[in-house]
Amino acid sequence: MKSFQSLPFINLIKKPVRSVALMILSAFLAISAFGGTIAVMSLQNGIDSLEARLGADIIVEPYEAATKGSFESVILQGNPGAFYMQSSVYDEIAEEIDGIEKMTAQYFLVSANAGCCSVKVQIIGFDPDTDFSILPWVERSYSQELGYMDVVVGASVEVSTSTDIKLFGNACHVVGQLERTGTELDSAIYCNIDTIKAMKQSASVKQLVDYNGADPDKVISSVLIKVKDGYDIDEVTGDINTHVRGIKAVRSKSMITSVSGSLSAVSSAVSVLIGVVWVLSVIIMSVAFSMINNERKKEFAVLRVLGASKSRLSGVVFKEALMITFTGSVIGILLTLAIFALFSDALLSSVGVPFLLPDTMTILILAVVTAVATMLAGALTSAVSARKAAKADTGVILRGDN
Amino acid sequence: MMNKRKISIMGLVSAVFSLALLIGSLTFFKSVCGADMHCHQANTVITIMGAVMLALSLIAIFLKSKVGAVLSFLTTVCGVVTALIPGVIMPLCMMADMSCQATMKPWTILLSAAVALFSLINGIICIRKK
Repeated sequence: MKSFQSLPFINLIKKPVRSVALMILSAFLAISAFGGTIAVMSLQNGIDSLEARLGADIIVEPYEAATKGSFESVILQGNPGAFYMQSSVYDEIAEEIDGIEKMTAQYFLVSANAGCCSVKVQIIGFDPDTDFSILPWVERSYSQELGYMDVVVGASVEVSTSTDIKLFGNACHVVGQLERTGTELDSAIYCNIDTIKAMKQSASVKQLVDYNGADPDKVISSVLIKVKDGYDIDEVTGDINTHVRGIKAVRSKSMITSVSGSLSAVSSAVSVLIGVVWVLSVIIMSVAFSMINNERKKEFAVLRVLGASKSRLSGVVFKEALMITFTGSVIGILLTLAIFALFSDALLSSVGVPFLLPDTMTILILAVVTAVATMLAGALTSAVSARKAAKADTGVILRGDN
Repeated sequence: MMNKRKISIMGLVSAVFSLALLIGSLTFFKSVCGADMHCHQANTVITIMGAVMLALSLIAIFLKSKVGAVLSFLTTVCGVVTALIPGVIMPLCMMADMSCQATMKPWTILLSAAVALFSLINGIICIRKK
């Protein structure tokens, strides 16, 4: 009886090619389900993360930058960029527009790919007194106030905290690293208004940045606005565009919606693909199990003659299928995890849209669900052939009439 | 008969992964960050290690004795060391979206780990057969 218990395992070991082929098929099933679901969830997470990270209802940018899509280019394509407008725009909006709850200015600068800078990177300066967009994220990794020449780096900037990096000849102290957002904002460096002003001056002296003749201290790159409850965001956006010249106010949601629109098409395509792969794999598996069991008819008949009951025989076939699909799904899940974990930055750069992997618990739950689903698919397909194998007439098979 | 086939297959798989690492480090997964960047030195060392592992794996395929086991374990050590080259032993560029960080590093880690794993299995099979 004991030998019957180890029979499924021995069968798998003794037929390595057959076992490996079926494991690869199961792994493929797991990769398509697990990888596809993670990809779709990561795209959605990226969009949610971008929305949360911007934190503003309206973004005001220089008119020329808006027509060129410079702001989107910085955030979505990860192309470092800098654009400027007079800082008086900020005061104009504050004075003339109703319905503004919070408002803050941001300053963009791009470090040079030269000896004065450790790396070419997007630098974003913010005003800690008014900021509501960056500071909540900074506070998660650095609880103290950002000092002069202190910088916080995005998750994609590979530098340890407490080290110094050189930006326009200034030694900047890295005090913290932000959590990953899955957006191109992970590749930026953040500092306060005094630090960015000093950097702008250094860049101006070195003639690395052109402010079109304006005073570097009197330019800003964008204004982020949070609208008061009860006010219509579209109306406030329209008001700004009507009353302030030389700028363009856009609803941040409309910028994100254009990305999420194209993403939903991608997500649907991936979902359909997962379904097709699953149907095909289940059909192939069921055919494979049926063919294999058909070839093993004599082996099953001998086992029946040796005293194995019908239920024990189908149990052996069922256990074999479970072992194969379990190993295959584990291999598939581990491989998918390794690829997503290692190539996430490459994926982010290549897809050009926010891409943020789900948290560990979600991934774990997904992995378990995928493994169970794969095993269930294998078990169901093998169950049919296991039943057939058990029901076959032993005498007929051993005589070779069938 | 069974063991003989297994030894060859594991050694062969290890050699195939070494070859993939070598080809990748010279083509699709090579660092293109700029000639004066640190990552180019790391890229060169990874290519050399890929060639060394390929040679060791190929010899180990045909040796099923004690020498085969020693060569396989040596390949395992090389695999572990190679996986640690990008970012740990040798510095790479600062930005995670640069080619050395985004593609060369993960490719090297994935392939070196695979070479190390299959060489280790090959070495263990060689010892058990002895």
